[in-house]
Amino acid sequence: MNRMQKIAWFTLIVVSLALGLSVIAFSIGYFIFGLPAIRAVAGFGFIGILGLTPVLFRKDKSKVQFDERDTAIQRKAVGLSYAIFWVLFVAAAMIPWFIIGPNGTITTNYLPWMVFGGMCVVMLLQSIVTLNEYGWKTKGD
Amino acid sequence: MNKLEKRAWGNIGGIILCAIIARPGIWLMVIINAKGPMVMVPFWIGGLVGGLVSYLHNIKQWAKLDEREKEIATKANALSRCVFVLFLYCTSFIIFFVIGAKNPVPAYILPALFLSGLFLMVLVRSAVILLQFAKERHYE
Repeated sequence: MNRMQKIAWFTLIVVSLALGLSVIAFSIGYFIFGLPAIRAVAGFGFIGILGLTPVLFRKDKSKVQFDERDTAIQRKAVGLSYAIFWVLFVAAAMIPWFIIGPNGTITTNYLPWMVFGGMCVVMLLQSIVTLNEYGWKTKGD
Repeated sequence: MNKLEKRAWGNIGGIILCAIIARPGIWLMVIINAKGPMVMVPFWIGGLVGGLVSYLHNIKQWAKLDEREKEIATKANALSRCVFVLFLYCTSFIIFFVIGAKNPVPAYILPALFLSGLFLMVLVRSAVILLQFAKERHYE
């Protein structure tokens, strides 16, 4: 398993865990204890662990880390994740406008959440595409 | 002037024209307070048809480019994407912190954000392509 695959697995686990924690927190806190739903999004704070990626997966300078195949895979992953991000972003920007109307208002909370949601989608898709391209199982190389 | 450069100039002209047309379009929708699912139908049809045509055209054009042009186009794409993401992050958080977390903002800020991001992205992409070719010619 190369560095890219390790980072992709790490990202996939962290983002999925953050989503999972938020869903569990929402289910328990909102439906059982009647807490405000917004508190459940605290689970997303778990994504901050991704900041440790450069420390956990250091580059080994003695070896070639990135060949042409890796570059092609990375480009494909980035391209595909941003293609889907664009569709979601356009929907997130235009649907509220058409539902509320141009003279209506939205809370400013919506803007960072839109950006944050987009970031999660990009990271998740990038990891999935990367792992899919390399193959989900380690082949011992 | 090669194909990629011509396309970059075309994109700059096109996006400026779109910005000029979109401005009174958004203004008109604000004036008539257009809302509801029926307004979305022509928008989605237009968006999907436009997107599909542009995607197919891009695939056809991409095949005609040589390795060097593809490398320049990829570099320009990556840079424009970075600029777009940075723009989106900065504007969203600036609005959030300046206006306040619980205060309302007009709904037309969303399409304005999307359209200005798109404008900036195309402009940066075209500028990077033109600059790269100009730099190459300068060193030749």
